[in-house]
Amino acid sequence: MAVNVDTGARTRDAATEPALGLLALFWVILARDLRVGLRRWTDASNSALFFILVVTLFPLALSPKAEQLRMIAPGVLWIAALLATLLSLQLLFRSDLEDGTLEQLLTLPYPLGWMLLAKTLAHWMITGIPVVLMAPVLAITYHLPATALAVLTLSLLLGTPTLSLLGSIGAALTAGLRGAGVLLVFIVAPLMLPVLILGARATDLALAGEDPTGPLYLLGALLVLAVSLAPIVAAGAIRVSAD
Amino acid sequence: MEQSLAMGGYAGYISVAYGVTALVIVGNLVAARWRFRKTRQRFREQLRRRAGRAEAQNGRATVGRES
Amino acid sequence: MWTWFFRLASPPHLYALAGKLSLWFLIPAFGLLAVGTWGGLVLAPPDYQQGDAFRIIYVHVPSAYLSMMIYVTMAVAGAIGLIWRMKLAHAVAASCAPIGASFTFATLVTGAVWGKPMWGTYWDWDPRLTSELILLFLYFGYMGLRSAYEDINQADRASAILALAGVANVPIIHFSVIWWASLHQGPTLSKLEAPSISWDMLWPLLAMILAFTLYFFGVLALRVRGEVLAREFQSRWAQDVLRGTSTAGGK
Repeated sequence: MAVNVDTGARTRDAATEPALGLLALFWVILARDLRVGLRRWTDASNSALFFILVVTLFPLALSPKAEQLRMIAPGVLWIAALLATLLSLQLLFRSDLEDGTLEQLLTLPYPLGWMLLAKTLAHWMITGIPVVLMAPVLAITYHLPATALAVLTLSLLLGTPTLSLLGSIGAALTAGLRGAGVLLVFIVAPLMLPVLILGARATDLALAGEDPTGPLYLLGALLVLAVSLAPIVAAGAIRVSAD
Repeated sequence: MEQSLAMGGYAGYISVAYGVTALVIVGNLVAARWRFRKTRQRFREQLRRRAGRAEAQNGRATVGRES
Repeated sequence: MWTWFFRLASPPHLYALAGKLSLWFLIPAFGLLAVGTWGGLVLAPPDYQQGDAFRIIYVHVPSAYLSMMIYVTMAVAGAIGLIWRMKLAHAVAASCAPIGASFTFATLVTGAVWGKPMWGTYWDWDPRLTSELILLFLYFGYMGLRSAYEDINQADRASAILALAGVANVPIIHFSVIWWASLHQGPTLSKLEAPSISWDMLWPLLAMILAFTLYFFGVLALRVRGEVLAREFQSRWAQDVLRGTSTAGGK
C-alpha cells in the first residue's frame, strides 16, 4: 500500500492485504492529520484565539475585581474551553469529507474506530493542547492561586480529550449536512455537561482548600470510557454520513 | 365550596399547571390527526395527478388499461 | 412465537393495527385521566406542609415520567431498527420524538409553576428540573438531526445512533447534575414531604401515571399510522388504501 503523506491519498494494491500493523497505521494517520491540520494554521489557531477572547470578555462584562474574578474563574475558564472545542469540532471531518479521504478510509481493511481515534487525537493535539497550555496563564489574570491553577490545568488536560472524543460523535453524525454547525453544538453539548461540571467543581474544591481528587478521578474515568467507546460510535455515524 | 375552589390561594398556579398539561395532551392528539390528514390529502392529490397524466398519455389508444 | 413481532414489520399490518389499537388505548386513558384528576383535585386531602399546591404533582410527575419513558422508547425503537433493520421501528422512533418533547416541556412548566408557591421562585436550578431541561435539548437535537438529513434512511440511522448515545449519557448527566446541586443547595427539598405518602394521596397519582402511559400508546399509534403511510407511499398497499380500493382494515 502506497501512502502519499502530503495529500493523504492512499492507493491500494491488488492484494488488499493490510500491510500496516495497527500501531503503525495509528502513527501514519496521526502524522498525516497533524501535518494537514497544522498547514491550515489559521483554522487551528481559531479555537485558541476564541478561548482567549471568551476569557477576556467576562471581566469586561462583569467586573475586574479580584475576589469576583477568582470566584468565577473555574466556571469561566471551563466554559471557554468547552466553547472553543465546540467551535473547532466542525473541522474534524469536513476537509476529509470534501476531498474524498473519508470514503477512502471506509474502504480500507482496518478498523474504522481505530483510525478515527487517531484522527481525534490529532485534532485534540492541534486544538486542545493550546487551550491546556494557555489556561494557567489566563488563570493568573483571574487571580487564581497556585493549587487551584494546577488543578484547573490538570482537569483540562483530562477533560478536553474527552470533549474532543464526544465531539467526534457529533461531528460524524453531522458531517456534510447543511447547517451542521448549530446542530452539532446542540447534539454534543448535553453529552459534554458531566465533564464541564466535574472540571469546574474540581477547581472550585481546590480553590476552597478542599480535596479535589474525587472529581479528578471521575474525569479520568470518563476519559477512559470516552477513549474506548466514542470511536466505535463515531465509526457507526461516519458510515451513515458517508452513504 | 368556594373555599375548596380557591385551593388555599393556589388556584392560579394549579390551573396553569393543569391547563398546560391538558393543552399538551389535546395538542398531541390534534397534531397526530392533522398530520395524518395532510399526508393522506397530499398523496391523494399526487395520485390524482398521476392518473390524469396517464390518461392524457394513453389518450384514445388503449382503453381499459388500469394503472 | 415471534411471528407476531415480525408481522409488525409489515407496513400494511402495522397500519391497520395502529388504527384499531389507538382507540383501545385512548378511551381507557381518558377515563382514567378523569378519575385521576377528580381524585387529585377533589378527593385527596391537602398536604400538611404544602397545602393545596402539592396537587400539581398529579400532572407534574406523570409528565416527567412520560418524558423519560418516551426517550427510552425512542432509543430502543431506534436500536431495533438498527439491529434488525426494521424500517418501521424507525418510524416508531420518529413518531415518539415530538410527543416526548412536548411532555418534557409540560414537565418544565408544571415544575416551575409548582416552584413559585413552594420556594418563592419559578426556577432555581433544582437538579431534577435542570436534568429535564437537558432532556429537552436532547429531544431537539434528535429532531434537528432527523430533519437535517434528506434521505430518510440516513436520518433514521443517524438519529438512532444519537438516541442511543443520549440514553447512555442520561444517567451520567443526571448524577452529575445532582452532585453539582448538592454542592450548592445543601439538602434538596423533596417534593414529597412525608417519607411515606398516604394512600388517599397516592392512588390518584398512580391512576394518572397509568392514564398518561395508556394515552401515550394511543397517541403514538395514531402518529405511527401517519408516519407509515408517508413512508410507504410508493407501495401498492398504500396506494390502494389511499384510493379506497383496499381490502385491509383502517380508514
